[in-house]
Amino acid sequence: MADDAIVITIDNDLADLIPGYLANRRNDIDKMNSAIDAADFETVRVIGHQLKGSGGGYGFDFITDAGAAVEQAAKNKDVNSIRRHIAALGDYLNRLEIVYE
Amino acid sequence: MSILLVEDSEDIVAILNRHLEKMGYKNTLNAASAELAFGILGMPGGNINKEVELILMDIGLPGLDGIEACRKIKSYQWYYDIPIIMVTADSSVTTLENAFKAGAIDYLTKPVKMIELRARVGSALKLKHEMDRRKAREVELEAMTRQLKEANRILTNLSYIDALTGVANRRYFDDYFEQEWKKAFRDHTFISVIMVDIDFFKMFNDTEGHSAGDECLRRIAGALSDSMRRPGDFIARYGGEEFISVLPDTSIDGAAIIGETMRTNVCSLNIGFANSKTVTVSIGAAATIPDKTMTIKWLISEANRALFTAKKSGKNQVKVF
Repeated sequence: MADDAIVITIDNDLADLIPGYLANRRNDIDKMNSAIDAADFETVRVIGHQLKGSGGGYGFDFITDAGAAVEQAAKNKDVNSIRRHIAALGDYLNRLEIVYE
Repeated sequence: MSILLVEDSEDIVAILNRHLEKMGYKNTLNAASAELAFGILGMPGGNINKEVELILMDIGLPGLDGIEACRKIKSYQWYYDIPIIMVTADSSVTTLENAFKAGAIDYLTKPVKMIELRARVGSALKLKHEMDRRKAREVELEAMTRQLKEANRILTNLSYIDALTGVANRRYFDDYFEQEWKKAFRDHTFISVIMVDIDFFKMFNDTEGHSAGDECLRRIAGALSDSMRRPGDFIARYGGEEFISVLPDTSIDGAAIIGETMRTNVCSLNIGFANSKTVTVSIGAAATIPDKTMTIKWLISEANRALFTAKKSGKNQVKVF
């Protein structure tokens, strides 16, 4: 386990869902980056909204918080803020280590 | 029974389905839009989906939103009592107020926590099942009330009908005559009574047997009933081989005509006995416009007196007073 790892404990019953869920979030990051390049704030807002709605349900409260921040920043068309939150989300996903119980 | 989950996010569908499975709800139906949900629910014009007993509805759906979808679903009578729990990341007062106005029973805030899902789904279904039990009980009670009414109707009829002949019995006659008497008194109209007695009935029974006697009574009752012309005319078995008829709004002339019809109808039956005889009836009729000095008993005794005269005069005839 890396020193800077973020350890999240997840119910064993959800184990098979987690890899797919996290893979989808990486796709979201790519989609949001492309959308920002195209100044497509609506797509960013929708993805942010979906992250907000799903993260905590899987046990990833950070994803919910990041999604809420992205959604708000997209509404404000605040590119810097969006990029900052996307970067934070990417960092979170990179450092994430799941323990199933 | 099933839960219908209307949600466009695959990630949320996956986690909610898993939670619902853990709670024991294996048959969750999924729809990614309101339109797809309507398809599952047979709206419009399809078959109502009676398997669905709870709907979890995302508000922010593509196309028609969850609140409008809720309103449409609730406009169907069958779905009126199917609980809808809104699932939303937007729990602002306005949004929730609109959801409740549209017919939602409760809401879940995204991200949905397992403990909250369990509590809300559990209580919504508990309420639904309680309502179903009450509705089933109401239906049961309605059916029982109907059966009871029908039984009462049959019992009332039985208590008013002479079991042997199928015409009204003495009891019904007494009630009916009293009502008609009062009516004639109020309206100052005629009322007639006709007494009918079967001639030589004792001899008939002695020669033909009681079973043939019963059959004879039944046939004569039928012939007398057939002689009644108007809806208010009424024939009853008065006892033994005697029948009695009340004819509202009928003078003695009218009663004489009906009496004669009765007599000829019985003759036409051509019921033979003792080798050479045919069953006949003697008939006495009386009529009056009731006033305070008269009684029902008196009019019956007058008809009886006329009957007695008919008997004395050789039977098989009509006498009127």
